[in-house]
Amino acid sequence: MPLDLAPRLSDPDALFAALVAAHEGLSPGASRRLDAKLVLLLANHIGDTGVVLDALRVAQETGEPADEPTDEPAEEPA
Amino acid sequence: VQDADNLGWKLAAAVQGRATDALVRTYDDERIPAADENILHSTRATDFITPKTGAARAYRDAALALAGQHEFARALVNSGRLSRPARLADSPLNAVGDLWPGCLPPGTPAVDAPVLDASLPRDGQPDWLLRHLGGSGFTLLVFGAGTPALPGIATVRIAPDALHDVRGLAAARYGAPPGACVLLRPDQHVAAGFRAFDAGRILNAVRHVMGQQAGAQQAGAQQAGLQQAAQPAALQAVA
Repeated sequence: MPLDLAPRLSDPDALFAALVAAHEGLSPGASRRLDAKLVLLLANHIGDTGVVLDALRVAQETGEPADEPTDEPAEEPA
Repeated sequence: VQDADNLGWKLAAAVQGRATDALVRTYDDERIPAADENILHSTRATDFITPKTGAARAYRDAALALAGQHEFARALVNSGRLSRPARLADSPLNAVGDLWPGCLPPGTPAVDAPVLDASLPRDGQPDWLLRHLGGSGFTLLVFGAGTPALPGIATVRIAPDALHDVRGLAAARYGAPPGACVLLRPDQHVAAGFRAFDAGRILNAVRHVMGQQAGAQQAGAQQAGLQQAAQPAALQAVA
């Protein structure tokens, strides 16, 4: 099954708010780990590596705001 | 170990005049991709254990955190994958045989299975299939009824009166329907599989591996018979 780019969410505003809220108060490292866990969970749910890689490609190719730091040093002390 | 096994029988065959130097050169063809695969696996494991970027660390930590509670994430935890033998998928030695759904394609390391050796007293002794395969020469693994002996090829038969596949695991792991034959190299890799015994095609496959070139094209028994007549030296080389 190809990557579905048609609108599919029943309440997109609520999902957006929940994602943002989940990151509130988190350090940059914790925030990044949360996203990574979410990606891995969703990738496993999708199951089809090709679809996940298609999504990765779309994400890479879709415009980035300028002047963002590319890779922050990232780690808070363990 | 796979590396040494790969080289050993080729050197022996070349030194004893049973194969040409071309066989020894296939060591490079087979082991360079295998070495690349090993390096890929160990690089991935090293990168997992010692992340090089913040993102790599975040994904590594995410995988570890999830693995504690969710089975799917355990597959993502890479603490080293070197223990799996390489499949020599693109080897020039892979001979022409039959491919069928579930078969072990040429270049695949032989797989093991528990069997009972019916030739031993008291209803057979528990044994392992791999102990019977390869070594000094080629082995034809036959699933089912007896087949004629072939020169220079040891026959190992999977049947209740030979090596008894009590739990059906050998047939399942080789994806072998009744009557199928799997030709194994001395280093316990699949040279070719055959849906049914066919002396001409099997000998042709051995000649192909040993550098006699006769097996490069698909050949039926009749055609292979003609080639045997045309090349008596080839048969000698097999024996």
